Amino acid sequence: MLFELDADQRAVVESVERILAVHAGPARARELGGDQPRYDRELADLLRGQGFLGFAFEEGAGPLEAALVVESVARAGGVVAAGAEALVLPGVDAGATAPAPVALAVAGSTAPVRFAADAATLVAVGDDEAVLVELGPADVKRIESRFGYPMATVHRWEGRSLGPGSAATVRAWWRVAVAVEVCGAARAALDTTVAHVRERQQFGRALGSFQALQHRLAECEVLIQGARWMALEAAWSGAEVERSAAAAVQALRAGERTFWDTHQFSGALGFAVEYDLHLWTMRLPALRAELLSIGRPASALTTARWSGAS
Amino acid sequence: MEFGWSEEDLTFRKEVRAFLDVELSDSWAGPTAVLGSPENVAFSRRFAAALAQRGWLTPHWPVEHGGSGASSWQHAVLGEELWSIGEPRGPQYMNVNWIGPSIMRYGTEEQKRYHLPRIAQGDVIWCQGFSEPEAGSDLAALRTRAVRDADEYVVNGQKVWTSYASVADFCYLLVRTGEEGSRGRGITVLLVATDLPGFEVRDVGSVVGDHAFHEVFLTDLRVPVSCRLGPENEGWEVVRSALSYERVGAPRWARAQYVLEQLAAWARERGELETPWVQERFGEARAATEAARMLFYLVIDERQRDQPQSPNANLARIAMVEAERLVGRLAGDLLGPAGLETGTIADSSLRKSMAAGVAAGTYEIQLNIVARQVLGLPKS
Repeated sequence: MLFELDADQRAVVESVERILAVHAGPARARELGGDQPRYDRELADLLRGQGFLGFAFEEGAGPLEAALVVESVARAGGVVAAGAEALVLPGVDAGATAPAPVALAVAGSTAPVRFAADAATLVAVGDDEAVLVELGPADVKRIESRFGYPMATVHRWEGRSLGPGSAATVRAWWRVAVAVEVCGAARAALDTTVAHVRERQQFGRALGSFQALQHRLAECEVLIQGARWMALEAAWSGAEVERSAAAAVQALRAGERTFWDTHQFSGALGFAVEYDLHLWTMRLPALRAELLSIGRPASALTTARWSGAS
Repeated sequence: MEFGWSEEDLTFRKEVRAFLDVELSDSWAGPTAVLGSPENVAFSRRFAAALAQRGWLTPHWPVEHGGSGASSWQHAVLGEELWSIGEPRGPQYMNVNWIGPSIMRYGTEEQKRYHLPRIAQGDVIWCQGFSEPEAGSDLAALRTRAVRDADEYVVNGQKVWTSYASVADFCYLLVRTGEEGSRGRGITVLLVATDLPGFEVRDVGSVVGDHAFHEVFLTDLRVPVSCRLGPENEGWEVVRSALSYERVGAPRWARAQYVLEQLAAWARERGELETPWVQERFGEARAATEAARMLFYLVIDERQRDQPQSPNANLARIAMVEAERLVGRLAGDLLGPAGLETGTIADSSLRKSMAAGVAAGTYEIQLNIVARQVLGLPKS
């Protein structure tokens, strides 16, 4: 057990952060459309070109490194389907030959799907089986949404089956991927808010000196850190069913608390598009809805742990 | 970064489990044990001696003081296994986790020779004389006075909420030796035998458990100067270092997981595990215990790598409180009126979890520390 990055992992994270420092972040997110962004092909190509979205999942390596990349991308506000491409696809289709970008959907759903508008591959999860669908522009319809991701509805569901029982595996990886993304976005939102309340003066003192705010922000910190370690451990475990569900449960709590509290403590400023906070917070409800769409993770955890099924 | 156990630690855990299966076969009350009750204390004395014989009461201590130099991870594994069955060591966890290490660090040769073997063999029970009627979370406000008289300190004052005081052989006592108002600069630690004249203990009835708390009245208690731990007036530093062990010392999340397993068995028997709200609450509670587990491991990892002490211990404590409360609430809601009967799992769990956010530094104090030291927020 070791909680610090080893040399290889540090090299991965540092390289990814260098790319993100130039090609992601609030300015880039705004360029792409702010709360209604386009998919960032340029960033995806850069990350993919250096192998950061395609770690081979082998004994003892792969998913954890992929999770660290997904987290960094989410923290930098990158508009790339990193979780689906780097964690879910390799996790469910070893040797992954399906073309990127990748989107994830509940089979047959009429609801908007993150990144479907630009995806070449859709992983569609049914009750028991998951299928890989080749998507073309005619198979999707872009819809308007202000929750930080390009969204589209999907109108094609036939594809290559991943086999009987594959839905459970997809759901587990999907939970890990979104849990990691929630932690990245929540971290950036909390850091932004902490910086704000340290500076902002009201009643002759910094807002952040009021204990009413301090305690709630400290609770957000504990929730985010706990969820983050759980999500990383779940990735490391190869999306073991219980760990994945538990990470998703905790990520939901962390994301929910961070969403409401960071906006509360940022006042009206937090709603302004010229202020950065919304670039991360508005994604949190989207990630939450997506997680809940594949079954409540708390129930999945209980069932997996105590009823012997997923 | 990786999250696997070493072969060595896995083997160690197996050995601990096998030992516990034998030692606890039919005599241990489990999660409904009433901490501090005469039966519980008597059990913990026998059990601690058996652990000591196996070298597992103080495995993480250096060999010269009766330990076996085990890694921080093995210490954690042992703690986990014991807390996950309700902590049969009872009061001993205080001695072995922080009173002993504190004596190792600040004690004289004579104090080490006298106290450490007794603790390592499981022969003694300690209590901690910290809180006072006017000094709870604000410990530096303590008033119990010790005045030097030749080779002795004469102590007068009162301690309160002192767990295990009625059965303890020794007390790790904080006294004021500095001027009034000297706060942290005028505190001294005394290692006091509880059978000295002037050390009087009275039970304080409590809803979290009988025998849980006591008042200690100190009246012209004469303590030899040789019983002082560390320099006079510098006890605050001694205590801060001791408390850093205590803050995360107990993997209480492991007991919360154990209680959750018992509750799941209860719910399964009654076909309640399929009920949506029950599923939701079990999942939330289990996830919270897992978050506490990971943050606890984060602290153990730091310790194993000899990193300087960090506020991660406070993060872990906060997560543990949250986990215990979720489990306690679920226990109450799940059993409903049936859980109101004394001795049921809900009764025991609910009442124990009430103390989670209060004992060993309140939840709010932990939040203050995280706000200042992790988030860098200004003092209010």
